[in-house]
Order: sequence, then C-alpha cells, then structure tokens
Amino acid sequence: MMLKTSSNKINPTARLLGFTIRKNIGLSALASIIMLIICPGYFVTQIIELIDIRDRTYDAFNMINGFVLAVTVVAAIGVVFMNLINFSYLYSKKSSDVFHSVPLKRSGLLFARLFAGIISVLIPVVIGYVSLMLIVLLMPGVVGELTPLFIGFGYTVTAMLFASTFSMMFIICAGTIFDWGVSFFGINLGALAIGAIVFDFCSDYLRGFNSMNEADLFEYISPLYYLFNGLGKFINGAVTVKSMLIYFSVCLILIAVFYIISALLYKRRPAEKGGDSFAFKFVYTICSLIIGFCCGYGLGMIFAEAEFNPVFFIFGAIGSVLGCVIYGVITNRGFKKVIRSIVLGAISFMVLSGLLISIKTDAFGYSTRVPEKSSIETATVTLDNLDITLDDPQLILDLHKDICNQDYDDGYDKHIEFIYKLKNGTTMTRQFWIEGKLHNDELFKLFRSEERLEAIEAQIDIAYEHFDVDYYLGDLEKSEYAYIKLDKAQMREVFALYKEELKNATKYDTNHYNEVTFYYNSKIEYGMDYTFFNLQISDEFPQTREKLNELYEAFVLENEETKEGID
Amino acid sequence: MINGINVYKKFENKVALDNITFEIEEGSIYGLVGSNGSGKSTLLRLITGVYKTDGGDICVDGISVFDNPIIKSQIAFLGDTPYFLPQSNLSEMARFYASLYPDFSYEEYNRLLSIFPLNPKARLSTFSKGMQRQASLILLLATKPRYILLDEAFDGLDVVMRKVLGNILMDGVEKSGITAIIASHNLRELESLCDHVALIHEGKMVMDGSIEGIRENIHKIQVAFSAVPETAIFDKLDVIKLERTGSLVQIVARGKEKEILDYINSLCPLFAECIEPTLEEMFVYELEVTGYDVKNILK
Repeated sequence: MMLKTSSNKINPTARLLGFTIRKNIGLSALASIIMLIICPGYFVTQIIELIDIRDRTYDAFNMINGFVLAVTVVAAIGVVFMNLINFSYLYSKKSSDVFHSVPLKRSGLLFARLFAGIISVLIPVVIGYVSLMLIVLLMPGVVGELTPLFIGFGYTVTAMLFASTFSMMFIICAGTIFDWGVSFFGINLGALAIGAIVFDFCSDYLRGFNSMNEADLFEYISPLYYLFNGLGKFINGAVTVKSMLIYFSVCLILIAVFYIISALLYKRRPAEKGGDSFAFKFVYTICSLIIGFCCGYGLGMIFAEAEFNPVFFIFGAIGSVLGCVIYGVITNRGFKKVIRSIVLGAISFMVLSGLLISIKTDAFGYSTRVPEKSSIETATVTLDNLDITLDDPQLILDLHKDICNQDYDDGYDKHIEFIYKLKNGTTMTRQFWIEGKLHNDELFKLFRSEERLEAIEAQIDIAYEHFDVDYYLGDLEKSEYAYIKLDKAQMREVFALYKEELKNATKYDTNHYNEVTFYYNSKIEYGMDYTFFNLQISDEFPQTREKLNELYEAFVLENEETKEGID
Repeated sequence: MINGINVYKKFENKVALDNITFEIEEGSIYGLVGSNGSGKSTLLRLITGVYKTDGGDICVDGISVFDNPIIKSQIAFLGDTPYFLPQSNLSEMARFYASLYPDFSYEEYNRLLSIFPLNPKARLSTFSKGMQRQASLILLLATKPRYILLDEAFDGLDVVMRKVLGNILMDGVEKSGITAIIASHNLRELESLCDHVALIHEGKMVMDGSIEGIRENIHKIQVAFSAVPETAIFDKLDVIKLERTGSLVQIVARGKEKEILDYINSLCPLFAECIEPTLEEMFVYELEVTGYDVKNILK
C-alpha cells in the first residue's frame, strides 16, 4: 500500500476549506453544467434566432438585466442551501461530536465551512458571467456594455455573502432543520407581515403618515428585503452611483455584522443542543411573539370584519394565544411547555393591542407635530407631484398647521406632502389627503409662487425627448379622455401660455377634471425614470386649454394619417 | 496530565456532572465506569472540548481544553456511535482527518489498515456497526494522539477485535506514552485493560483510584475454624465485609495482605487463604461501605 504523510504546513482552517470545497465539487460541477447550458448555450441560440428574424443587431441590455436578476436570486438561495449542507453536523449529536472535537477553533470551523459553500456556488456564477461577457464582447451582432455586467457581478457576490452570513445566524441558533426553516422564514416573513400590518394601520388611522415610502420602510425591517429591493432598483435602472455606493457600503457593513454575530453565537452554542429544537431559546421566543402578533391581528380582523372594535380585541387575544400554542406544540413536540406558549401569546397580544391603540389615538402626537421654523433647514411641499421648496418656509408651515387643525371626517380631493430637512440632520415628512377648498388661501399662494413655476421649468428641462399628456376634454362629465405626445418645444409653448394666464388666476382649482398630467422620462445613471407632474388647467386658463386642444387635434390627425399609410 | 476541578455540567434542569474533581496521569489507561446516564459520556465530551463546562474547568497540561486547537490536536475522541461524512469512504475520511490533525500519519493509517481488514474504497455506510467502529479507530489512531478517549470502546467489536484493540491501546501506552480513557458500563470489560478506574454515578465520581492500589488495599480471605470464634475477634482488622457459613468465614478487609493473614493465622484456623477479588467485587465492597446501592450502579 502506498505510504503518504499528511501535508501540515498549511493552516488547518485553510485545509478544511479546501477539503470542503472538494467535497462539494460534485454539486458545483452540476451547477456549472446547468449554467453552461443556459449561458452561453440557450442565450446564444436565442440571440442568433432574434438576429435572424429582425436582421439587425441585438441589444444585450435586457438579457444582462435578466441574467443578473436570475443568477443573483438563485446564487443567494444556493449559498443558503450550501450552508445547510455544510453545517448539517450541528443538528446531530454524533456529527457534532466529530466536528467539535477536531483541532479547530469554532471560528475556524465557521469560516471554512461558510466560505467553502460560497466558493462552491461562486464557481458556476463566474462561469456564467464570463460566458455572458464573451457573448457581449465577441458575438457578431450583439451590442452591449460590460459595465452593467461588472456591476451585476458585484450585486451577485454581495447577495451571496449577505444571504450566506444572514442565514448562518439562524442555522446556528436552530437545533434542527425544521426549526431553522420555521425561524428563518417565520422571522423574515413575519417581520414583513408586522411591517405591513403596522403601515396599513398607520395609513388608515394615523393622519400624516407617509404611506408613499412604505416600500422603503420595509428596508428597515427586513435585511433580505433591503438586499433584493436594492437589486430590483438596479435592474429597473433606478440607481445612481451614489445610491449604489451607499447600498454596497450598507450591505458590506451588514455582512460583517452578521458574520460577527454568527461567530459569537457559534462560540457560545452548546454542542449538546444538536437535535433539540433551538440552541438559543431567544429565537423561539422571537418566533412565538411574531406568530402571536400576526395570528392575533389576522383573527381579530377576520372576526371584526376589518374594524377596530371590541370584537377585534377578543378574537385578537384568542388568535395570539392560539398561534403561540400551536407553534409551541409543533416546536416542543408536545404540550409540555404550553404555559410558556400561553404567556408568550398574551405578551404578543399586549404588544399588538398597545401598538394599535397608540397609533389609533396618536399617542405620540405624530399627526399634529409641525416643526419650529427655527429648526428647519429647508421646507418642501409636494403638490401635484411638483416639489416646491420655498426660501421662506412660513407659508408651508402655515398650510401644514392649517391642515393639522382641520377636523376631517370624509371628503378629500388633493394629496399633499411636506418634507422638512431639519438642522439636526434628520428629515421629517408628513403626507395628507386634504379637501383643497378648506385651505384655499395657502394653496393659492403656493399655486402662484415663483418657486412652483421654477419647479415646473426644472421638470421640462430634465425631461428626455418628449411628454405624454393625459387630460379630459369636451363634456367633462362624460370623461372623454385625450392623449397627446408633445415635444419639448411644444411643451414650452404650453407652459408659456400657462404662466401668462396664471398671473390673472383667482383661485387654486382642485377639480379633478381640470387636471392635466404630463408624463416624461428623465435620464438617470443607469436607465430612465418615468415620472409625471400635474397642472390644474381650469376655465381661468382658456388659451392654455385651447392650445392643448389644438395640439391634440393635430396629433390625432397625424396619427390617423400614419395609420392609413400603414393600412 | 488531565485535570478536572469542580466540573459541573447540566442539561436544561438535569445535572449531568456535579462538581467532580479528578486527575488522569499521563501514560495510563483510565476506565470510566457507570450505568447509562451516569455522566461518563458527558465527561468524555468535556475532556475533548466538545461540550463546555457550566462550572469548574478541565485542563490538559494546565491549559483549558474548550476551543483550544493546540490541545485538541493531541486528543482523539470516539463517541458511542461513529460518524462519517455523508457518502464517504475510509480514504476520504482519512483525507478529512489529515486536513485537520497536524500529526496525522498515513504510515500509521496504512499499518492499522493491515490489522483491521477493511476496504478503504467501500462506502462506510455499508459497513456493519463493528466495522464502522474499527474504521473510526483506524482514523483516530492515525492522528497520533497523546490522549485517546473511547466511549463504549468495545461495543460492536467481536472477541478477536476486542483483543486486538486492547493490544493496540496497551502498545500505544507502552511505546508512545498514549493516555487512554475508556468509558464503559461494563466493569469486567475494563478490568484486564485499565490501570485506573473511576466510578461515576448520577453525575458524581463515587470512586477513583488505581486498580493496583485498590487491589493492594482490599483482600478477601477465606478461613475455616474448628470452633468458630466470636465476630468481635476480627474487630482488630479493618473489616469491610464478613460472612459466616458454618465453620467457614469469608472476610473482606482493608490493609496489607501479610498483616491480615498473620493476624488470622494467629487465631489458629484450620486453613486460611487469600482469594483475589474481581474488580467488580472490590467496587461493591468499597461502595457498600459508603452507602451506595451498588447493585443499582453496576447493573
């Protein structure tokens, strides 16, 4: 038999890393083959077919975006899967004995097994990216840039590191795969569900709550949401260099934090917990509280028919306790800790009801808070989707106070948002649906302000190519609808008339039928942002309206001619 | 040397080890005896650094074991159920151990493979329980440990392999100064192998000492008298147990064999002979005195 000696010069952590990568090489090879079938295999055949059909060049932009999105999501799932394989020894006493008796610090074990999983997934990912780069560079007829691919690769690697370290915390805390699944999905989805419940409740009951930013608020609740929302923004082109740098920096900080937490938890993890429900009971407590919160809200809403009344509280309490008891029975494999589950259910219901009551009663004065003038750096009001920043914030403050002091029951026709950048570096935003006529004085002053006209001009300046204009025409009650495509010169003509007529306007009209919406693309760092603003063009703007009608008729005529030409 | 000072470990509400203190000399074969659930396996896992103590400490050469790779590289541990990486064979497991243990020797691995006839290319999951245990022993011994800890070492091994393992361990102790710690619920199994034995019961170390010391100190003497004397006459001896069957008296006493025999012979018996008690008997005698329900402990 051949005699060998072990090579012991390399650090044991590095040797375990190498060993684990070799152990996972089968899976990596399989994933690489699948990747090669998709890219270049499938992509090349598709591109050839498209070039043949269209007989022209193929823009790789959409293909790159689709590839980055799909590969990033699959790679993120892949590293979590690899972690589950590489750390499955934590969930069995006999494998735990072997791994924890070997001469490696737990930090070394964590590093080697975690990065082995990442590298195993990275191999097919790199193959895919390199293949796509070669397609973009070398394939005849393909037009595309490499920069989005390099950035996309950055997103993929970040997502892999993020998902791996984030899932690791849950893997270490759990004692079985089942409990990992419950805690990982339960806490992440539960956090989003709680966010949705609270935001929904705030939107319904908390005046001034800025529901337009709900999606961004979720980023503060769920790290995974932050990760994939950032990716989504990149894919949609809604990013700038600055926002990307912030995103990557935050992600890297979070990755470091998750890794450090994982290392600390692992160092303290009792090896004897392998096969038990949770190595750390606080995870079970968090899961129970989230489940209790969601079940309480769900059952309360079902029985109270989405009303906030005593029935909601009765069935909310039942739902919270029931949710915790069911979860406890499943996790503890029996009823032996049922008292604890009932207590956790009661706590989660108290948190739920306390939170909802404080929102409903505006216990913290959120709805009526208006900043002091002296504390404001800049004040902006968004009206008709135009951001109007006034040098003197007094008018905005007056309007805000007027809205806060107004007792609203029903009826509103206008959406308005206040954005205050405060001297202490924070931003305060409030958003209201208002009835315009109740605040006509302040709104009219805003309507006539120079800053508003400057804001409109700025929109026209940044617009890319043309405007899509929607408005009602003819018999307003019949809601006849007009669509015009205006170039920038035409838009400027319309605006010049509007400005002239504004000088003689006597009121801020809030009639929905007089609203004209101007949609346009504005170029941002990686793509286009399609946005809009509104102008109220009432009977006080006859020339502007006539101009629009004139342009509309010309546009319709031109389109009909074009259509006939095609026919 | 392995030292345990006031070692305390509990699982949830159950105390597994209750402030035990012990010392294991270098180059000895140390037997840990106790019934199931007594705390033997827990103690082994604490010595190996798999578990962390909840109180007290376990040190090897004065250094705490937990999360200490230098110390752990000198310790090999085989739990009561062997574990191998999924889908692996012996060669692959050897690479795994070689990647982790700095002193892993393929020379020793190959030597042991010639003693335990196993196919290194066959999947370990297809091996019988005994073969899996042999495979684990090959891997552990190839790491060239200073300390080898075996939980239920002979479980699943046939008589021949038990003998072989015993010889390997004794050889290791003799030639390489290995210290072996073997946990078993079967005292008879350890009798011929160990030079030190400790008895654990309900998390407490109820007895700990060298077999030689125990043997030297406890003697069982059978004596026959023509006229049986009063029991009080034996009070001069440190009697642990005394049984009378007609004119035959069986005495178990502490002390030096010669001194005990000299005293008994001075009583002019028909005959007196010293019988070597089994290790189990010695434990029973010792523990009965301390009030433990010995039958329950060694069942």
